[in-house]
Amino acid sequence: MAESTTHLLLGRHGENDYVVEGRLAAALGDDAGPVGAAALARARAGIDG
Amino acid sequence: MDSAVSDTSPLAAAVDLGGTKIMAAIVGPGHRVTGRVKTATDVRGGAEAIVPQMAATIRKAADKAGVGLKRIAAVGACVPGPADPATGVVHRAVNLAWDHPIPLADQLSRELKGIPVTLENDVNAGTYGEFVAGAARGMQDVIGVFVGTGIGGGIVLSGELRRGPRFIAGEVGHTILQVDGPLCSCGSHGCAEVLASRSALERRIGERLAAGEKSAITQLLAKKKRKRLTSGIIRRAWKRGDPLVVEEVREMARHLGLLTASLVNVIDPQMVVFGGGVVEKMEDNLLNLVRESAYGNLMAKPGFNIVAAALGDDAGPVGAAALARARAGIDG
Repeated sequence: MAESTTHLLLGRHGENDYVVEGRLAAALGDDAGPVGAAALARARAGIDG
Repeated sequence: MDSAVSDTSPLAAAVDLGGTKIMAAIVGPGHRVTGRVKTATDVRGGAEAIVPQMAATIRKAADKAGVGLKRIAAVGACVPGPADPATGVVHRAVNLAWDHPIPLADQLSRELKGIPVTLENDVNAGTYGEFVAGAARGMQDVIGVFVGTGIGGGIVLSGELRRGPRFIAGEVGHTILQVDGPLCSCGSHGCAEVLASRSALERRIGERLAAGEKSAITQLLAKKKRKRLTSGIIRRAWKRGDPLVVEEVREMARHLGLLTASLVNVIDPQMVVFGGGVVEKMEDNLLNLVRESAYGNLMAKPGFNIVAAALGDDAGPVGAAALARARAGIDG
């Protein structure tokens, strides 16, 4: 998945501009679910890393 | 001396700073509240002038409870804006015309001879109070929705208050329910606050009366010699079956139900607690309509309760005192 870093002006809310710096899209694509599920499983099983 | 403070265990004081009044009380073990005192807030001198007012109100509460300041081991302070309990800074408070960060905890602590002060946003504190000692006691995941001039809220997740990195978690009143709806004070359109707060109800009823519609409200306002619609007058008109009021309260409840369903779909709490003057006055007359709307708009089957808050004006002080006690390491 393409990764782009940018400043994204989200809008004006009262007196504040909210500016978010970061990725415009999630970084892991189809791996996100498996990575998350594996991390939870490792934590539950007490495996480091 | 009140039994709430009659033993020798350390006590907490709580102070609830509002735009029009300051309430202080002493909170003993078991979240028992005594020595409640209210004073008018004078906002003209800014924070420098308000801190001594808060301290004086706490001293009055201690006097009324029959305890000296030496018995007070911690102070919990509710403030009407985003607040960081770790630094003791209020980031802003629109009702007090504070537009910059103020180190209120340190200032109030100095005024109280070094008693540690813990700050909390007032609605967060109210939700936490209901969680530790009120309607949500025994729950772990709770959303509080407080309906008044605006709509505020708080979130407890796994027994912990959720504040967020910018201390704005729980701003449920600015959930957008109607795209292109009425303009809200926050700058967005169609927020819950502009559709379902007591002010919104008052505005809509006022507009319909101004357009020539008839309602018992007119008589009730004259009888009570009031110009503004109160929660009590709304309840009386509802009980009379006034068609205009019934219709508008139903619309308010419909929006509160939509708000509840949206929040529940995201958070999946065990309980949603509704507080505020209009909820206290209307009780299940309002909440049954909210339930009907919420349950009809949920993604999943209902498995949570919608209940009325139990502590009234004590909710914030009870919550703030509990947080202050925990931070100071005091049991109870």
